[in-house]
Amino acid sequence: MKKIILIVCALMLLGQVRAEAAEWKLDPPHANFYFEIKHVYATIRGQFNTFSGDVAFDPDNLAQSRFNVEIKTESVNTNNEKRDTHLRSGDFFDATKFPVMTFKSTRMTHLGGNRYLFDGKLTIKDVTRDVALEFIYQGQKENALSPGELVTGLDSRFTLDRLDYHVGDGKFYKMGIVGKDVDILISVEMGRKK
Amino acid sequence: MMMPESFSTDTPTPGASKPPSIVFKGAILLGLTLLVAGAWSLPFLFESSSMRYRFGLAKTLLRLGKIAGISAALLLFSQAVLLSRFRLLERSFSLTQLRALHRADGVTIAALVLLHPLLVLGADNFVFFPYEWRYWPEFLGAGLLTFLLILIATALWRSLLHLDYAPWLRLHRAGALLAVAGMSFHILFVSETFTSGLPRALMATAAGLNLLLIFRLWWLRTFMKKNRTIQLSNPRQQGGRS
Repeated sequence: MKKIILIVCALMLLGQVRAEAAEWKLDPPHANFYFEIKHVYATIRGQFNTFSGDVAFDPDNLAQSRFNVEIKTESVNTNNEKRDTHLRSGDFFDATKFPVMTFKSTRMTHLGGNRYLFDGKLTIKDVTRDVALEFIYQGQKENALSPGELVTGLDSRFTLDRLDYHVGDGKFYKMGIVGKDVDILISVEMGRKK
Repeated sequence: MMMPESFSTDTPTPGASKPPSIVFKGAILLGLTLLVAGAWSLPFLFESSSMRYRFGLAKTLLRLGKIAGISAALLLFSQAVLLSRFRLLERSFSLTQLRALHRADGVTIAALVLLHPLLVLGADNFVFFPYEWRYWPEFLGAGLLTFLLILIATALWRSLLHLDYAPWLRLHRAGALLAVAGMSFHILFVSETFTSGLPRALMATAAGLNLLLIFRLWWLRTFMKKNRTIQLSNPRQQGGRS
């Protein structure tokens, strides 16, 4: 009798232990960190080409999920070499002194449907701020090009004030040349083995 | 243009034995002054967009860096001219003076090519370029800097380095040709000042003429060696074999 009770208790405890959220690997050719900013009247688009991520996401296990990315600031690319050189300089990203910017999630919440809120710390240059980024979970399915692998996607659009993160000291904004609000689009595809 | 009977520093070019004319000297110096003034004005008259976004010290450093680069280019182009054996030049300056100028220019070029990247990168707080193909003009410049320093150092300290004269001279001439070609590509593609219009046309013309001049020198040496004394400097003075 005692043995049966012990076995039942053990089974109940096992049922309470939740598995870790599935780990996903960023697919670099299909992971994008875009930004847009105003230059006088034109919208300038750019992206960061070099990044890495540590992502574990399970819509059914948000407590164990995480979304941590690290982006190399020197990889900024607006399709203009001189402008990119200026962006890497002390006037903007100061890439030599601050080689990376990071986002590390602290909490994930389901907002309903395919919308999720990732709370986390965004660090750009010498500033770290608590932010809440809304992500769209695109779902997951088997990769048609690689049977046995699953693919998933996450998108997020948000706007931040670059001056809050000392990306620029405001002189170009005051001159009306470069805006301060930066529209960001994160669109990442990730994969893992089934 | 009269060809020299033998291409040797011991034999002045025919017609160059007249005393140097003050008019010729004055004309050459005036021409040089106008040339330098014109070249230095290019970063101001044909300002690149990178200048517009710099202010204060950064702007000054970048402009000085461009002027240093342009000055190095002018001197590098002039190196072949100094040893071109043109009668006009030899009327105004002796061969010894021209050789001495060639060496002095080499030292000045070394200083300017070191200063140029320090000033240009200094304007951006020494943020270096990532290793991306689109920055090839900048990386060509970096390679050229190293190459020129080696070229100049081996010329200045040839005897200290125990380099035999004849092989060193062959390499020096080949290196000069590569340096002129490399520098031309660097300038034509690195700066927005030279991407189009008059600056690009002038730069391409200067590069083309300089390469033609170097080719002319090679042709003269190859087909004019009557007494096999094809040398542009006295190897005994250089510490090498005679």
